[in-house]
Amino acid sequence: MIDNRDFVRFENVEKSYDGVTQVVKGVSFGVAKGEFLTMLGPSGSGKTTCLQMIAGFQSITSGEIFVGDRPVSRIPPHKRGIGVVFQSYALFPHMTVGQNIAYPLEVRGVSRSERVERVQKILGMMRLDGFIDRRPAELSGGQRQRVAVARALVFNPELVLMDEPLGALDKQLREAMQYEIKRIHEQFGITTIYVTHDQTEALVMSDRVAVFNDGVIQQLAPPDAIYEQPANAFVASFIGDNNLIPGRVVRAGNGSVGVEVEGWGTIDAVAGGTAATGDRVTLSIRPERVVVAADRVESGQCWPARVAEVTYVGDHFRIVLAIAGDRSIVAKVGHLDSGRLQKGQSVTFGFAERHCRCLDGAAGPLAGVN
Amino acid sequence: MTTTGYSSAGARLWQIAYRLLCVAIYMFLCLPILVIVPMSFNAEAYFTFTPAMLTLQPEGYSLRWYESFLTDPAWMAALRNSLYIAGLTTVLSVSLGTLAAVGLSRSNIPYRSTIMAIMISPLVVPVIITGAGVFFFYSSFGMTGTFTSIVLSHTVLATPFVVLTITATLSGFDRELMAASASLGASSRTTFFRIVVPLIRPGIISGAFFAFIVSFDEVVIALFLAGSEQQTVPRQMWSGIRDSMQPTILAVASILLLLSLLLLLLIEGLRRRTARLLGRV
Repeated sequence: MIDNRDFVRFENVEKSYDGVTQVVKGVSFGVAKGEFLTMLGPSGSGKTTCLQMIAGFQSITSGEIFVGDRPVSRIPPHKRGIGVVFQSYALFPHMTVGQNIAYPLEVRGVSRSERVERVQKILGMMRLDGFIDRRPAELSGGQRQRVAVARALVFNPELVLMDEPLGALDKQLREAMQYEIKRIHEQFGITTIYVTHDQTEALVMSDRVAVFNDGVIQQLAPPDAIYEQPANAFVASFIGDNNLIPGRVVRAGNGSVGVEVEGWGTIDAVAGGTAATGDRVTLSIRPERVVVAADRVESGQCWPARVAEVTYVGDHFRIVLAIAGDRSIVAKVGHLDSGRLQKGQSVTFGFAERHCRCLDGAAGPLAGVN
Repeated sequence: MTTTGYSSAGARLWQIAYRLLCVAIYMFLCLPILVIVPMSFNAEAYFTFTPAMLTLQPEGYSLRWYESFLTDPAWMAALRNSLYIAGLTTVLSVSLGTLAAVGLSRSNIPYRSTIMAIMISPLVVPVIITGAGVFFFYSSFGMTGTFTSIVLSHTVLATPFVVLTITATLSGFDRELMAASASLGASSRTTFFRIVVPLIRPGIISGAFFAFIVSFDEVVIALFLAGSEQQTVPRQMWSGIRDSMQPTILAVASILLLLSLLLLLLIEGLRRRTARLLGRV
């Protein structure tokens, strides 16, 4: 997909603010040149700390970060030449839009005429023509956001970091800006590391997503793999809706496992981890992969159930099915020609083996992540 | 305190009493200061209102004490000295106070509150103690009766005002702006002058005004340290009251009052202008 050379490389990076608690625990990964990589995770997972260590706002406790083969730990932030877009935008309130964007050029000693030219050019690319003399206080949230991006890109950095840049925007604007940032990334082809806790943002924008939890990368993979083939129970539950069912392996081999779920039976699943017979595991089935039928399911494994809850969500129904052993499973069902399911109705549900993944018991550090 | 049409008679009575009390407090605070203004236009060499003044006859009023202030070489020398000392004090205390306030606003400074307390202690220590202290300190170097010793002592008194006003401005300062400036390639020196100073300028300017006034009004240190060469306006007023008792002092006091008032208005105007510019009114 992209040049394989690691343009940004984390080597066993650790960070502790107080010398006791580790916020980042031995993270190693690489980002290819031109790649859009998102660090996704709940707050306190270490993703923002990683970003700040690349930018130089936080020191590295141990390990090293390389940007273009250069170890950065001894380079002060202002000499790293990395563009940063902040969640608060951090626009200079006493300067106009034009002065804000010209600032990085000015401190680099770029001549006045070239400054004017480059500011005009990027304002055009960011669809901000006509705003050059406005002050940040006179702009809307989306416009401030674009000025912040323009300012971070105008000096042609080789790497740009974005720290939850859409966090302060309302939902509609946020969605529009996701595509806008994606477009800019494609237009500039600049290596981008993006931090967010919003999974949709991560899936929509990224070439690859690094899912952080507890100071460790849980999985680093393209969006579809993160969603379809979660590496562990944490990733499976953090990304999207999911049914997570605990069980015990009774048969393993050839990438397929049989998992005994108490009160339900034995379920065939794809081996998503390294579980062997007898291990405690978690089954992961996406609600949209659960097939529900009024009489019987055509293929694969199927069981009887009773509809316990029906919620109308617009383009689909969210159905909670009560199954044997006091268990329940969530299914997403589209609009059926045969009419909608009724609460209390008896149905049959099932899913294909390939849509059910068997994950190793506890979420934890993953071996072999890049 | 607002009343609606439904409030009881008792509440309305309290409302009136409250307003009267406020007016009384303001009168108590301001009258002794304001009374000197009409008195400074006295045509006679008295510190009281003459019958001619009370009956508002034009002959009762004159500008002679203003004239005497502006033509008396002793007063003019004192004014020059005061402006010189206050000017230097302002420059020194603003430079030191700004650096101290910006430095102390960083969260990773150890013993921050202790350093701050020591820094603003001249505000708490009685000036007479400071005066005696600097007198003995500078005598041991033979520096009493020099401009240097007065300026340095005034700087000690004025710096806390600068530190406090700038610290107040910095409390609303977004430290991410400094990180942003660094990420855009600016050294910490450039960031200080291009980002920090413009944004805390209102604090710096009000701090400067305060520093100027502190030095310009200061009498105790001047009494301890100044020789005849360093006669300042407050010191001249002091000796004016003790020796000659001429209403010239009232004219000077009125001018000083006007000056303070103008500076206060300037500070407030500046604050509003900045708030408007930064969009947080």
